[in-house]
Amino acid sequence: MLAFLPHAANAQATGNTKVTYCGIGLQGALAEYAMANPYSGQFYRNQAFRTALSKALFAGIPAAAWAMDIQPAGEGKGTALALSHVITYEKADQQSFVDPVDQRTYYNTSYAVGFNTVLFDLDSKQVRALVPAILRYNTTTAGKPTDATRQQAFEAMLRNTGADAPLGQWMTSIRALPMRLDDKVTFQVLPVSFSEAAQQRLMSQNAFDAKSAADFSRRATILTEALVALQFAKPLVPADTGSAVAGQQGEPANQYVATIPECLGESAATFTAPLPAYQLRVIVDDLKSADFKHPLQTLDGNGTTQNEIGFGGRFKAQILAFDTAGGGTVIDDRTFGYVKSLRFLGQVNLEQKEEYLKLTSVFVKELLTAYSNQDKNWIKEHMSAAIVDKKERNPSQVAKQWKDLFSKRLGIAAAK
Amino acid sequence: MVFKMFFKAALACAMLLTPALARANEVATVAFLGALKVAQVQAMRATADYYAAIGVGVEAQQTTGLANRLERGGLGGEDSIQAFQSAAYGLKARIDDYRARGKIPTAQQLELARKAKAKLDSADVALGVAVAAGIVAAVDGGNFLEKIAKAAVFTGIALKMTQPFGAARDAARQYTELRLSGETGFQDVSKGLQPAFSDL
Repeated sequence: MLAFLPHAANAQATGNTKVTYCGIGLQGALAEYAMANPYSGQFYRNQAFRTALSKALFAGIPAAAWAMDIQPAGEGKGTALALSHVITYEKADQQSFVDPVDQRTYYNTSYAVGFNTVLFDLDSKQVRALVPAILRYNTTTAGKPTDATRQQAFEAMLRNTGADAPLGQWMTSIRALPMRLDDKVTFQVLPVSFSEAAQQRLMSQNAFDAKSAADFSRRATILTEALVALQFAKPLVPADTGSAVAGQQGEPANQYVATIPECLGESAATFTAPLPAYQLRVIVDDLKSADFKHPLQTLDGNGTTQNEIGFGGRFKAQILAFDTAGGGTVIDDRTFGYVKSLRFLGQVNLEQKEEYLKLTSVFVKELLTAYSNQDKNWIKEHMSAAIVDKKERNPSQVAKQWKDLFSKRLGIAAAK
Repeated sequence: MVFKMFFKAALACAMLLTPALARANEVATVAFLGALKVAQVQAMRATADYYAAIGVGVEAQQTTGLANRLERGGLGGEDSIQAFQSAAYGLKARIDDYRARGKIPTAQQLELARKAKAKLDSADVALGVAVAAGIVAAVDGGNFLEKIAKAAVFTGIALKMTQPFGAARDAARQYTELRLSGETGFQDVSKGLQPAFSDL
C-alpha cells in the first residue's frame, strides 16, 4: 500500500535497525476517537487523506538520527520493529476580543493536534519508544469561526508541511532529535496535579472546579510530555494510555491502546509500554493573577492606559527514580515561582484557565532547558520565595546537583 | 558601566549648579535638539511606516504629521521629545496588544513589517550617533564642571528619546518573529506588577 513512498532514501544498507513504517494511527479505538475528536476523526476515515498524510509524515521520520532503515509496510519481511505516527487528540479553543482601534470583534482560535511517534515491536506489541508532540496553530478571524472554518484549519494543520507550518516545524525538530533506540533512561511524566492547599484556594476563589481542574491537569500533562520528549531526547512512557476514549486521563500504567490499520487492522490493539526508569512530576502549588495600569501618552495628547495582566504560579518540580515496588523515590525536589504578563490597550476579558495552562507550559519548557543547561541565572531568578533554607536557595549548589543528575547520571545533552 | 557611573556623578553635580547655568542649559538644549533633528525626523518617519505596516493607519498619519512639523520647525524643545516618546511608546504598546491578543501578522503584513523594521533599525543607529554628536556639540564651551553638568543634562534628554525608540524597535523585532504556532503573547512582568507576585 505504501509502495509509492520514496523509501530508498531511508532504506540504505547501513547496518542500522530495520523498521517497518505503519503509516498513521489513532490513540484508542476509531469509533470512540471520532466521537471525541470529530474533525481529525473524519479525516482519518478518509483513505485518500490518510495516504497523503502518511506520505508527508514519512519524510519526517528521524531515520538518520535514530539509526534506522525504514521500509514500507508489506516490504519489511523479517523486521519486528515498526513505527507509526499516532494522532492522540484535537482541540480548538477560542477567545473573542474587541479591537480598541476599529472597535470590531475578533476571534482568536488556538488549534492543537496531539501527535505521537511510536516505535513498537510488531510481534510482542511492546512499545519501544514514544515521542509525543503537539501541533499548534493560532489564528485571528473577523467573524466567529464556523464549523467549516475549524475543519479547514485542522485540515491545513494535517496537510501543510511548509517550513512555517506546524507540521513542517515538527518535522524539523523531530528529524534532529538524537534518540538512541537502546536507551535505558526512559522517562514518564506523572500527571500534573494541584497541591491540596492550591486546590482548596483555587476552588474557594472559583478559579477552578473539579471538572476544570481535571481538564487542566490532563492538558498540562500532555503539554509536559511533548516538551520532555523534545528536550530530553529520551524514550517516553505515556501517562495517558488511551485505554478508552482518546484524550481521557487514564491511570498511569504500562499499557497503550492504539489503532494502526496499516499493519494491525482496523481494530484497536493493546501495547505494553516499558516501565519508566525516571519520572517527572510537576505539582501546582499556587496560581494567581493581578493587573497593573500603565499611563500612556498618546499622539493626540489625550492619554490612555495600557493594562498589564500578570499570571503567576508556584510550581514544585520533582524527579523520581522509578521502582516497581514503591512507585518512585524523589531524587530532586525544587520549588519555583514563575510570572509572565500580557499587555493590552483597552479592556479585555480573558479565560484565566487558558492563561494558567499556557503559563504552566511555558514554565515547564524553561525548567527543562534549565535542567539541561544547569542554568544558574534561571535558578536564581525563579527560586520560590517559599524556599527559605539558604543552601536550598543557593543557585550554584542547585546547578551542581543538576549537573550530576541530568548531565552525568541521565546523559541529557545541553539544550541548544 | 563606567559611562553610566560617570553620568550619575555628573547628574549629582548638575543638581548643585546655579539657576543661571540651568537657563544656559535651556538654550543649549535647543541647540542639542537641533543637532538631533535630522535623526529624530528619520526615526519618527520609520515609526510611522511601522504603524502603517501593521495596519494602524490613524497613528501612522499622526506620526507622519508630527515628523513634518518637527522637520519644518513647528515642534520645539520639550514638545518634540514628548511627541517622540508618544510615537515610540505608543507603537510598542500597540505591538504588545497585538501579541497579547494573538493577532499574528498576515504574510503581507509580515513583509511590510520586516521592511519597516529595517527602517527602524537604521533610524535607531542614526539616532544613537546623533545623540553622541549632539552631546559633544552642546557641551562645547564652559569650564570643566559645567561641561560635565551639561553632558549629564543632555544624557538625560537623550535617554528620553533613545529608550522609548529602543523599546519600540525591540517590540517590532518580537512582532516580526511571531509565528502561527504556539505563541503565548507573554512578556516579562513590569516592575510595577512584580510586587503582586512576590510571595510566589
